[in-house]
Amino acid sequence: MFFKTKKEPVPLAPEKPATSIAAPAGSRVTAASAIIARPDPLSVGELRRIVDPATLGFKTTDELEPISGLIGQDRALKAIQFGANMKSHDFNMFVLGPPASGKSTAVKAYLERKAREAPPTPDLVYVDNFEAPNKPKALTLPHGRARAFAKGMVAAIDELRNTLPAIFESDDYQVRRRAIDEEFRSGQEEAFEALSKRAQAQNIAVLRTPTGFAMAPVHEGKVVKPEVFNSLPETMRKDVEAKIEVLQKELELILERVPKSDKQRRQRLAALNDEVAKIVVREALDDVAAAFADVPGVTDYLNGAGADLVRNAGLFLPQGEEDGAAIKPSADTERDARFRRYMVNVFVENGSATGRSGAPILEEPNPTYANLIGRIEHIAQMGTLVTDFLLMRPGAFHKANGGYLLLDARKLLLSPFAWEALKRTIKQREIRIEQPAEASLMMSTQSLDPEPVPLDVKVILIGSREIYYLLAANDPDFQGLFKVQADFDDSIARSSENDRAYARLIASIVKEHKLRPVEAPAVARIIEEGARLADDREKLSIEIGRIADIVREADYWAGEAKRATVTRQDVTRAIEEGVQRADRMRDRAQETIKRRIVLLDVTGAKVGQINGLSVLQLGNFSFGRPTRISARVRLGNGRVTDIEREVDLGGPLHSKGVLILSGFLAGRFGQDMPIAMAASLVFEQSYGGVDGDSASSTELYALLSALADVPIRQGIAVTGSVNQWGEVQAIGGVNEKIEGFFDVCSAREEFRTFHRGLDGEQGVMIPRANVQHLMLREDIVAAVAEKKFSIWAVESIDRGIETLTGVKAGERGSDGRYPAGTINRLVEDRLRTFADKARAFAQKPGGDTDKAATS
Amino acid sequence: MRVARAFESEVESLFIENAQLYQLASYSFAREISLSGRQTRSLSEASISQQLKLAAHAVQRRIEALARIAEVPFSHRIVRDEPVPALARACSERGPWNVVALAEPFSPANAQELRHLFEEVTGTTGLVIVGPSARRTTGPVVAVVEDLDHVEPMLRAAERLATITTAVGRAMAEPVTLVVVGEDRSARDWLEGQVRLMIARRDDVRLSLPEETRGVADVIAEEIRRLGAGFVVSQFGGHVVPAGGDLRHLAIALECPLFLMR
Repeated sequence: MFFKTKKEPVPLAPEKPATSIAAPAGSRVTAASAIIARPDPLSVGELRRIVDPATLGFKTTDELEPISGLIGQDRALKAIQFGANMKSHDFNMFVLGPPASGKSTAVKAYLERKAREAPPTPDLVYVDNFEAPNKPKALTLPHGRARAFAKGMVAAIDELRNTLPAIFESDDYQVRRRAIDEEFRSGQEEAFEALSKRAQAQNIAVLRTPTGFAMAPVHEGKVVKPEVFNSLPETMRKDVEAKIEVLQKELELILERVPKSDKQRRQRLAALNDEVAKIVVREALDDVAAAFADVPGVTDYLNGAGADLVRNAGLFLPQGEEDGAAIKPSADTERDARFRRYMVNVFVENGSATGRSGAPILEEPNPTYANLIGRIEHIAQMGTLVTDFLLMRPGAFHKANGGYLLLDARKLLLSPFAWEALKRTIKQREIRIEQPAEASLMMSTQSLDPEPVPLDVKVILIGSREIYYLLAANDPDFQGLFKVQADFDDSIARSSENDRAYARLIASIVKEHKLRPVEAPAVARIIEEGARLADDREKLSIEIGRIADIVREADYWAGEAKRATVTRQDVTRAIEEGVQRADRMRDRAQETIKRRIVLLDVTGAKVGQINGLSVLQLGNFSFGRPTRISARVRLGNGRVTDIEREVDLGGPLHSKGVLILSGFLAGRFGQDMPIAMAASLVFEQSYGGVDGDSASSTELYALLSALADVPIRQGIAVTGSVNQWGEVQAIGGVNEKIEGFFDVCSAREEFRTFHRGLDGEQGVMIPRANVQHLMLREDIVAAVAEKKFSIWAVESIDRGIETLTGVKAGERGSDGRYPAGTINRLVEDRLRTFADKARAFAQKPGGDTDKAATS
Repeated sequence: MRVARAFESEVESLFIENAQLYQLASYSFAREISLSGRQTRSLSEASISQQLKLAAHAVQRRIEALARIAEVPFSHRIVRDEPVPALARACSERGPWNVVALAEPFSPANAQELRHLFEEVTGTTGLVIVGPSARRTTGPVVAVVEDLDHVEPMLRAAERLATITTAVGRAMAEPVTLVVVGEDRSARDWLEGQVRLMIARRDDVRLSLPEETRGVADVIAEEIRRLGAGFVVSQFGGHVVPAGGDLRHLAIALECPLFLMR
């Protein structure tokens, strides 16, 4: 069963030029009788804060001293200063703020001044650990001396390549060596010879078998035949056998002594080699030892290297005599695989060798795990991946050690393992080159465990506020390691002083990019755009990157026009061209409205229908788009259905707005009766997600119109959120929203299909709190000046509904009731009617308001 | 193999199963002492036979592989005989131009055996032997000249050998160095003059005249080492390699193969 109100639509207020609502053709007389005059729209001066070029005090930026550093960022700069001066390892910095706000530049500018005053940081080299080759040693050398140390070692090895073979070829060495060889060899041979002779004297021969020796009786040089031997008397035979046994024992002893004797010979030869090599090695390393005697650790290293060189002197001798078998030694010592262990891996060079002085400042553009803490490279050799300390590569921590390391927080967090590695390094206060566990699991390779290097780096993360708060909330280590927060503002307060500082900022952009001088009116226009970018006419955006883009683009257009200076016209063109390049989607959206694909009325009045405004953000470009919002009411149980939410197109903030307006209705009208109403709200022809509560007041107006059955003027688009007391609250994107509706209305003027264009009836109603944010386009300001377009500001739902309907909202009288004919009275009466009907229906057997509403 | 290639000859491997070993194995008290001296075991004809067979096969395989690489024609023979007569017989069967390469290094104690070989095995031009210090096969070829008759054949042999002692990567063949030795100063001077006449206008042959401050054998051995020879050619029965004389200095200094000419 369907319950239909018998109430007639309320009559509109009598037409009143410019300040009253025109009754649409065919509208019927209703119960509304509390007509109110239309409130005055905002004045032109309230729509855009303009800058008078004459107040800037210059003709072009050539006259200005470029500003060094930033403007209006005192808090952030103080934080940077504090952070840079704090010596503690956990007072690292997080510089947060909007993109392109000059954060990095400001930090680097300050750090560069500070770093110049700091003493130079030492060099770092890695060398072989001769005791444990897989644990290379780190050596710290005074700045600028690492390269000399590396060259010194190469020179020493070069020298040894000549001197060691020469010493081992020398007569002195050869004579001594031969003497040892001869001593042992002759000893063995003589013993064997003596045995042979003794055997021979006893008619016994020592014969060589394939695997040893054997003895037999001989006669005239030939083994006696067994049958002849057996024919000898037994005593003779026994005698021969006994002699053989004795000789065999002697032979066994001689042979047993051979390995032992050979071992002794090798030891004597090794001792001789060591003795000879030691002299040459000491002489070769003398120069480098003397040059670095003052550096701790170098002497120990050279001692180790010297001992290893003596042990491995054979490396320096000609290898392999077989033709083609020998790998020809490289002429370049540094490239010769035999001598790699004696080379020096210069990890970090500082000082004059690099053209830098003071402490290092490093900005790592790609903060991957390996780029941060260094890596160990491998080379494929015979199908295996091998490495050594010369294949170790430094990371940003090594290069920045003793100074400052700047990192992009977002890139850091996106790099696998990098964030954890960074924290671990800061906590442990040492730089330890390790393969990430996951990576090492992928393949089994020979790897190294290099000696860690003590860390003395101030880490400066640069990122957005979102990342800062995300880390602060989710990573318990973060606050402990990054104790200094340098928070860069998005904008600065608007004042004549700051306007002039802004002009100097523009002058510094001009200077930095070598652009044409910018005229004062053009600077004024850029300042106005700065306020627009800040979304606040009382503020100026300090999005330096965007401002610099405008100045550079304006310079381009000035060049195209063959002007020597950048004029206001060039700046305006730069801004407009920028918008035009990005506004394809806005054009498409407006075209759908022009062609009536998307239904939108901008004239006449309708019950339960209103134009809401939304902002679409596409990349850097955002624009406003009007959308029809409609409300229908019926008998029900007090629920306001948000259709967007029902189909999962509404976001949580939008749903919250709808619940708030339900709360307003219940609070205002449900004190002495149940709200027996069901309502539905929808964004017509909206096929994407809707979020934000900026349309909550708009939806409430549609709902009130539907309940009161009073039509709303379709020429007014509305934005603003509402609270449960009916106060209209500020929203974002107010300028884009107004401009979006203005463009739709003025575009219709071009088509003249459905509407005669701007006729003074169109405008936008905004929250009063948003007036201070207005920095509208100049064409809109002009239209308002010509009274073709209006902007109304309201602070409450009551004032808003009056503006939209021309009917008084009404206030409760002493009798507790709203005056007759007011919007609130009409709403209350309608709700009372619903309540009565619901009560009557519920008294019927099986009555249920919900069922009744949907039957 | 390299020598065979140098002389464009073929290689015949002769494995001699010493017949005396079989007789030795017939003795009940016969024992074999291992090379380390730590083990002894009784011998039998069967075990000797088996050992020799295995050793012969191993030698054959090894030499065959080397011959294939060197692209030298190869044949293999196993005979059961006494060593020197077997070798003499094999050489006489193949004409007088054989070069015998001994598989085992010589030692000063083998001087008599060398003499015996030269006396018994007549069908040879010479022997190729290595000493206990051998470690080099590349370098100049050094020919020790002690009389005029040997100069020309030695030079020809040295030129052939120079083709195999040149290290890979060297553009030029190794030079030949003639070390001239005489009984006394005047004999050496005369010989030097004759040799100079023979090698006149030959850039690839050098002459070396070591001062004989010590014994000839000692000085020549030192000179060979100093020159870093890749091959030495010398005559058997001269001052350097006397027949049955002291080979100690040569054994120490000789770091390369030695071609002993008859």
